[in-house]
Amino acid sequence: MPDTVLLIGNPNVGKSLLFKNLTHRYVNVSNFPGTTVEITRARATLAGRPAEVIDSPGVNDLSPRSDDARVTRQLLDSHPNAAVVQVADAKNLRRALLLTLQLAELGRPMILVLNMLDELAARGGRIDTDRLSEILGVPVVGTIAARNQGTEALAEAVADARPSCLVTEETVGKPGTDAYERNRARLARVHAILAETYSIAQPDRASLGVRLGFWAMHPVKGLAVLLGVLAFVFWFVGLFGAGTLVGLLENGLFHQRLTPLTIRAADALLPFPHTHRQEGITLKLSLPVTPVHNLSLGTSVRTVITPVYTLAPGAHLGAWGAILRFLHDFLVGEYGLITMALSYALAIVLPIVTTFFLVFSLLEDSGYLPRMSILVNRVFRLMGLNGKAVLPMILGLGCDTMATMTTRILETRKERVVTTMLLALAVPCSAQLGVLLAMMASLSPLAGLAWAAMMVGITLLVGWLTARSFPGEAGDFILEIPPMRRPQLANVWRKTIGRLNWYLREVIPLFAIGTAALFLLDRLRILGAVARLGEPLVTGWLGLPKETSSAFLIGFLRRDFGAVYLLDAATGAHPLLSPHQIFVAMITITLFMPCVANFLMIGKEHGFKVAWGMAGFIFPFAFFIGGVVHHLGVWVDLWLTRF
Amino acid sequence: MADQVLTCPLCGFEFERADSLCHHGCPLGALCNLARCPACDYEFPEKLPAAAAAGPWWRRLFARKAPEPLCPADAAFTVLDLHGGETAEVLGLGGDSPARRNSLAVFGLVPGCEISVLQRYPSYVVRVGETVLALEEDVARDIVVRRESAAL
Repeated sequence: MPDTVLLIGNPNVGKSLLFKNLTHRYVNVSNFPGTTVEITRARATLAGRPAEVIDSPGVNDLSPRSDDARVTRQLLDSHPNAAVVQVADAKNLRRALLLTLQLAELGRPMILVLNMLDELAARGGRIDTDRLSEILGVPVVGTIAARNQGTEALAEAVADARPSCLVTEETVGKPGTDAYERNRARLARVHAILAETYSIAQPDRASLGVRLGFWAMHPVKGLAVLLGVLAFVFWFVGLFGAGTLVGLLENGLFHQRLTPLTIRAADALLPFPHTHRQEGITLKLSLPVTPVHNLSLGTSVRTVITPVYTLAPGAHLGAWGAILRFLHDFLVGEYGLITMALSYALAIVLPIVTTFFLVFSLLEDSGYLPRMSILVNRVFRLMGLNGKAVLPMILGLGCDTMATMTTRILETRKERVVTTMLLALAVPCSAQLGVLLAMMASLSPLAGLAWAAMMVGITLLVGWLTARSFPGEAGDFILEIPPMRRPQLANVWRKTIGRLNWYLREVIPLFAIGTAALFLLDRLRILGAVARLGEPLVTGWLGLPKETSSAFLIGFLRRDFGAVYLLDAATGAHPLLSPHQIFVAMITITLFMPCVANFLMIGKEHGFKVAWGMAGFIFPFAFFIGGVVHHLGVWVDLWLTRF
Repeated sequence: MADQVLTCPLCGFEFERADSLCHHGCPLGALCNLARCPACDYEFPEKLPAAAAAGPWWRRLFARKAPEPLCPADAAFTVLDLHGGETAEVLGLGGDSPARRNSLAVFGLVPGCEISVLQRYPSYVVRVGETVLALEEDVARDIVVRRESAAL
């Protein structure tokens, strides 16, 4: 009985689901080929004995030089005594057996699992498992992972894993020939095996899922589906998440309840003579219908204390009082850890990110994303990418740092670098998108459209320039299209939770550190000094009031953080910015690098030379574009007023 | 670099660079990047244009693309010639990249298999056995097929 079991198989055959059934632990199950980037392992009891089960990313080819199998080959090398459990889609035995032959050549003890037997039966197909087992010389087990059927039989069969007897000269192909010729020889052998054991019929009538799958790829209907999907995402994330939920949490929970409570607690613990300002906080609960229409559900106003305070007149703070005041401000001041960092992370970012990841997981699980790449392939080609890059780009709307990690699914270094660059430059993450949407609300919808058009234009232009100036080629666009599936709500939910977990662990500490740094800089008067250095750039070139320069300074740390400052300057109690200035500020801050974490991730994935190079381009470029927009705006304004 | 082996594109003769006749005493000397085949006297550039285009980023930015070859392939049918919904038998995989051929083979797309075109635009979508694949034109062009007579 082997003590380690490696799950290997083509993409999308249910490896991760089987892994969950065997170990009762969950991993991402998704419908986009190549999403399992990290390796998952867990302990399980197989046939009464403890064993370690390792899930591997999907592979189509184990040939020595194939790139997508690198992780799997390393796994095989580092576990020389492990048994291999090959998971196959019973409907697509041909491709599975190609992999089986490659695994057989390694001489490892293995078993073959035919998963999705129910789908095969529904298609009127059948597999002679006994005969197949006889030919291959390894145990063959049938399972239905989605319904957790056959798992016990599989666990029992692992004990019988043995090397296949099938390795002959004709299956391996002549030594010295290239990977293609060898795979051709293997497929010829597979053909002979299939003829003896396998039958499947084409379905006589296309199901709704299949038809929907075709609509999603059609040039006209596909575009309509795409627009529909985008509209839904915008409504759910942009209006419902960033509007209703943020309002509920920010005003209802934090401003109305938690913030006053923590301020009172801090005042009791750290007493010094001061009075907090009272303000009426309004919570408007409404269901968004369009960007300008709401279904009002109710309003509540509470007059509560806010972090802004005035010292008692004539009071003199001693050294002790000053220390208390410092701690008080650190926790619940305007830049306080609780009043700013936590309320921002939990009330503004969390609902937006949650709704985004929910809808992204839904799309991923349904199998829609690969179809989207069919539609955008031609456009992405202009940027030296191919349609496969659509996955990281869309994920970037959730979190650019996470998306930068996913660029690993792209084939060539050039594609990975170009995608990373575009993510860092022009794809706003959901946290920032929420703040930007709030800023846009104070402008006309036309300005929102102009902003979106500028971002798309910049993406295309910079993508085109980077593609032409960065050496290398983009890979071929050959992408497997999985069938459309009805998303399993449990899967979607678990996947969302997994991503949120990752995001919060990554982001909350950053918020806390960022706020603390901001607070100290402000207290030590460094913030003002540095901001004053940048003032000529901000006031002269961008035409913004000097108070906003600290926002851009913070934007270096996290651009959405900087955007919050701008939002405050734009729509707060004392608006500083004119609509023209709001637009310029929005453009500039959108083009900033997303955050320090993103910078570190770029360095980790592509080396710090590339990361510094990107930062060196992105920040000057952001200011350059912002200034151009400002000056163009001024000219157009002058021109309009003259006539 | 002295023992670099060159192949004449005209007659296929293989020779070492040092044997390239006109490099001795020619006034162009090192400035000339042409090689002359000792067998048939055909002159050809030593490096392919694609390699010449490499260089610093500003040169690649303004470099012109290498021209398309005049006659791309022979007149055999490729997947590009198939209508949507048509099924054909794959005769061979063309193109000069073994890696691309292999990346089609791992999906089961090898000579002898049946291929159905499901959609042609915006990208080609084909079915091979139970696998549905999206391909772009460049790839589809290299799949040489025999049409089934019923479809004509």
